[in-house]
Amino acid sequence: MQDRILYLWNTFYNGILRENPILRLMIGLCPTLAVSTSLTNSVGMGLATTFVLVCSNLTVSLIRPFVPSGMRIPVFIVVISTFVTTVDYMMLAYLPGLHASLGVFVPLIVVNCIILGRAEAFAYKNDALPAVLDGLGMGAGFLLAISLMGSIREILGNGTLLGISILGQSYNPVTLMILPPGAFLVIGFLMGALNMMTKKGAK
Amino acid sequence: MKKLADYALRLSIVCVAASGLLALVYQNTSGRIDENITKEKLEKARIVLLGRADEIKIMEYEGTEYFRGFAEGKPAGTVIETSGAGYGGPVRVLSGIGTDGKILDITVLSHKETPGLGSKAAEPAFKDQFRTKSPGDVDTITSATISSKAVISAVEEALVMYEKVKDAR
Repeated sequence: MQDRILYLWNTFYNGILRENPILRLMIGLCPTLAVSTSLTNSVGMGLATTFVLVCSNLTVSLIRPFVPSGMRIPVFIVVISTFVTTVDYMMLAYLPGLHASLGVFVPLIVVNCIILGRAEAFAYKNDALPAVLDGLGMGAGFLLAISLMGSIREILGNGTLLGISILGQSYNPVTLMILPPGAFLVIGFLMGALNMMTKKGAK
Repeated sequence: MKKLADYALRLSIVCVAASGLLALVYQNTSGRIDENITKEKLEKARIVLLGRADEIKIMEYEGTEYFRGFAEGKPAGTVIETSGAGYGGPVRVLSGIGTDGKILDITVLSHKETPGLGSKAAEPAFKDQFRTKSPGDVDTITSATISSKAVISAVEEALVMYEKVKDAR
């Protein structure tokens, strides 16, 4: 029983640090680099991706007996795109402002390799409960990493956080940080910092 | 061959189930989505008429929708949506035009300009110029010339359209 709980906890925790999709596995970088221009966008993207990830992991895990391995990829794609379209409509209906700022990146969640990757590597081989936990963990890891990037880029590049000015009028924003090169700089430093931290722990 | 038929059947079942689910979601959200779009436009139309209109009517000219504001039953201004070619795609602009044919105020509905550079064309520092200057005299933004010009040409287009619809009832 205790082993079971430990296993489930590890399944969830795995995605947050040890196999963080962005900073460790380095997958799903395209939406990360493009959308993390502000914290609001990052959180919106993180939550939308997590929702799709959990739903697709659960569905893939449940329909396993029905899907022979030779045709699993097309089925994954149908499942994933169904949930992405659902998120797209829901956002248009209930959060039109967020949808406007995320723009084309909502439909592009379909090709986010975190989602297809977890369906293939985890959900297709595991039961429903671990699959959902894996989705939650990976989603949380993605959400944390992209939010961290969004915060750093918004503060340095615009002097604001969540649209509220925090560095004051006298701060001259480093516009580069909210342009594409800024995304690469921030993600590089974050990966470096994470590697340094975990290395120290291992020694 | 048997395997192929089996795969086709299974994939079809998955697709039918997915379409069913999507149809359900669409049915439950499409009304709200249309409502949101109209609501947003009406709200912005009110703003670009500087609060002069207490009632906004949706009108049509050759298939293009525009808005006319009324105050106590009398026309108080016209709101026209146009777009200009920006750096990252069309820049959609809503222009509020007074009964004298001059711009009252404008707002940018949507754009895909570079954040921090072109996006400044949607900010008050730039767009508020239209309240006092004619589109040709507006100062463009440094490092965002294309985006600025997109807004200017959209406003000019709105003024051209206004001439055609100003007497419509």
